Amino acid sequence: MSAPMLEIRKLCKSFPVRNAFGRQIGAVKAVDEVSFTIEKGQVYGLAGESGSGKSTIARMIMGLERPDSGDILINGEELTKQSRGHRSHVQMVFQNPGSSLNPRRTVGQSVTVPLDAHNYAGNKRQRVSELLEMVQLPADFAERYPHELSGGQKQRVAIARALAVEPKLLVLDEPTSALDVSVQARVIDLLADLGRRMELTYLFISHDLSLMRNFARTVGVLYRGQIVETGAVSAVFENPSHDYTRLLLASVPVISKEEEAMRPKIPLIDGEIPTAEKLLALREAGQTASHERG
Amino acid sequence: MSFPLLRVNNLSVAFSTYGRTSQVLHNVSLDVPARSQVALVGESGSGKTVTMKAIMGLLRQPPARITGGEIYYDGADLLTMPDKERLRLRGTAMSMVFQDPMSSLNPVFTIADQMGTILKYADKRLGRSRSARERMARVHQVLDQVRMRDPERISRSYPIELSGGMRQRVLIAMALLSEPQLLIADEPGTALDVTTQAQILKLLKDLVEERGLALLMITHNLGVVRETSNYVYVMNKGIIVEHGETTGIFEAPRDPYTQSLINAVPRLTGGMCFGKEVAS
Repeated sequence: MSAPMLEIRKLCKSFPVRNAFGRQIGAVKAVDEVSFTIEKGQVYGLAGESGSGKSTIARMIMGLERPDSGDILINGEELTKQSRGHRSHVQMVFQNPGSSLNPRRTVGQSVTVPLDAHNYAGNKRQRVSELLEMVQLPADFAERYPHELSGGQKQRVAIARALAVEPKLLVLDEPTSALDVSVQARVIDLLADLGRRMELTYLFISHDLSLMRNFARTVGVLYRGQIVETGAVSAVFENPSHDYTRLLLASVPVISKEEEAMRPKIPLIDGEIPTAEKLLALREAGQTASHERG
Repeated sequence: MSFPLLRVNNLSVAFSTYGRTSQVLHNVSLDVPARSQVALVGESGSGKTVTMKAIMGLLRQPPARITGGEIYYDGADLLTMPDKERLRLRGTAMSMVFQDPMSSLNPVFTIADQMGTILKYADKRLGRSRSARERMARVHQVLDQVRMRDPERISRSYPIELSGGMRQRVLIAMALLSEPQLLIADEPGTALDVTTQAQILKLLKDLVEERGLALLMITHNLGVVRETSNYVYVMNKGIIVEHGETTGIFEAPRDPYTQSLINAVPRLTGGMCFGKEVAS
C-alpha cells in the first residue's frame, strides 16, 4: 500500500489580533487540529463558509503560509523537508481567473512562468500548445491577453498553468464560483476528465454543496477551523449528523422536489432561519423549537 | 383589475459604441401583477440587468438607446412621461434592492445619515416634508421591519461595523423607506454565504407577503428563482425564451435553452456525471 497523496495531521494555525497600536491583544484560531487524508486519484471536498479556514488550509498546503503545528505530508513526505523539484507535485487553481492572471502577460507567457520556475528543459512553446490543447483551447490563444477571453476561458488558462509542471495534486479553491452555471458545468467536466486521464488528485474547496455532491467523493465540513463532520459525500448529505451540516444543507436553494425533500429541517428562531452560532447554542441548551422550515 | 402593476411591452434596446450598434434587447415583454413574485433569470450577458435598468430609468443614454416598446407602471408609460413625474416614482413607488452590500453603501457616512438623506429626497420628490426627528423614527421603523435588533445602534453604525448579512438588510430597509408597491431585487444575497443568503431570501419573501408588495427578482441562480417566485421569465441573448409558472417551468421546460440551463445545475441529490462528454 502506497502512501496517500496528501495527509494532514492535527494542523493548527492562528493569526494574531492586534490593537490600533500594533500590540497583540489576542489570537484567532483559523485552523484548529484539522486532520484528513486524500488517497491518490480521489477528489476530496472541503466545504465551509467564509471564515471557516478553508483557504488557510489551502495556503498551508501550497507552502504559502507556515502552520503553527501539525504535519502536511505530500506523497508520504513532509512538506517542509521537500526540495523545490518535489514542490511541483502540488499546484493550485484560484477562485477568480480575472485577478489571478496577469493582465500584461499573454496567455502563453502566463503558462510559461511555472515552466521557467521549475527549469523546464524541453521546448517551452510546444509545451504551451500541448497544455492549451489539454484544456481545450486553440493553440493561437497563447498570443492573447486575458481581457480578450471569457471567464470560462480564463479559468481554463489557469488550469493549464497549474498543469504545466505535471503536478499530482491540484488544490482547487472555488474554481467555478465566478462562472455561469453552464460554463461551470463545462469547466468541472474538463477537470473530471483531466483527473481521470492524468491520475490527478484533487482537493476541492467550495461553499457550493450541490456542486460538491456531484464532484467530490469524500467531504469534510469545516466550521470555525474545525472539521465538524466528514465521510463519503453521499452519506454525509443524506444523513448529516452535525447541526452545522444540517443548517448548510437546509440553506441551499434547490430546483427540484427531490432535493427539497432531502434538505434537513431546521428550527426557526423568532420566525427566522438561525445563524450557525444561534442554532448550535440552541442545541447545546437542549431546547426544541416549535417551527420547522421545510 | 386586469392591467398589471408593471408591464414591459416589446422593449428593444440598442447600444452604440465606437460607431457600432448592437441590439441588446429584442422585444422583451413581461408583466408583474400587483402582489406577485416574478423572477427574471438569465446568465451573464443575457440582458437582465439592462431590462432592470430600463425599468428603473437608470440606462445611460447614450450609449444605450431604447429603440422600441413601452414600460407601463400602474397604467402610465414611463418612457413618455415627463422626467419630473418619473422621478417621483423612482425610489418611492418602485424601489431597488441592490446586489453588493459592500459597495452600495457609502463607507464614510453612518447608516442613519444615508437612510435619512434618501428619505429626505424621496419626501421632497413627493412634495411631503418631515422633521429630522420624524425621519429618524421612520428609519428605525424600517430597520425594525427587516428584523434588525436594536435599530438605534445599527443606525449609528458605519457600514464597516456591520456584517455582510446586516448590510444587505440595510439595503432592503432603504428600499422600503418610502413604502413602495414594487420591489426590484438585483441578485440579492449572491455575495453572501449560503446560510446568510437563505436568511435574506426568507426575509425578502416574508416582507413581500406581509406588506403585499410586488417583487421582481433578477438573478442567475435557478435555486433562488424557485425559492422566491411563482412566475418566471427566462432570458437568453436579449430574448425572453420562455415564461410561465415557476413550478411548471422547472418540471417541464420546453425551450432548449431553459432545458440546458436546468440540466447544468448540479443537484443536491447527486447523479450528475462529469467528465463523460469531453472524454476523448
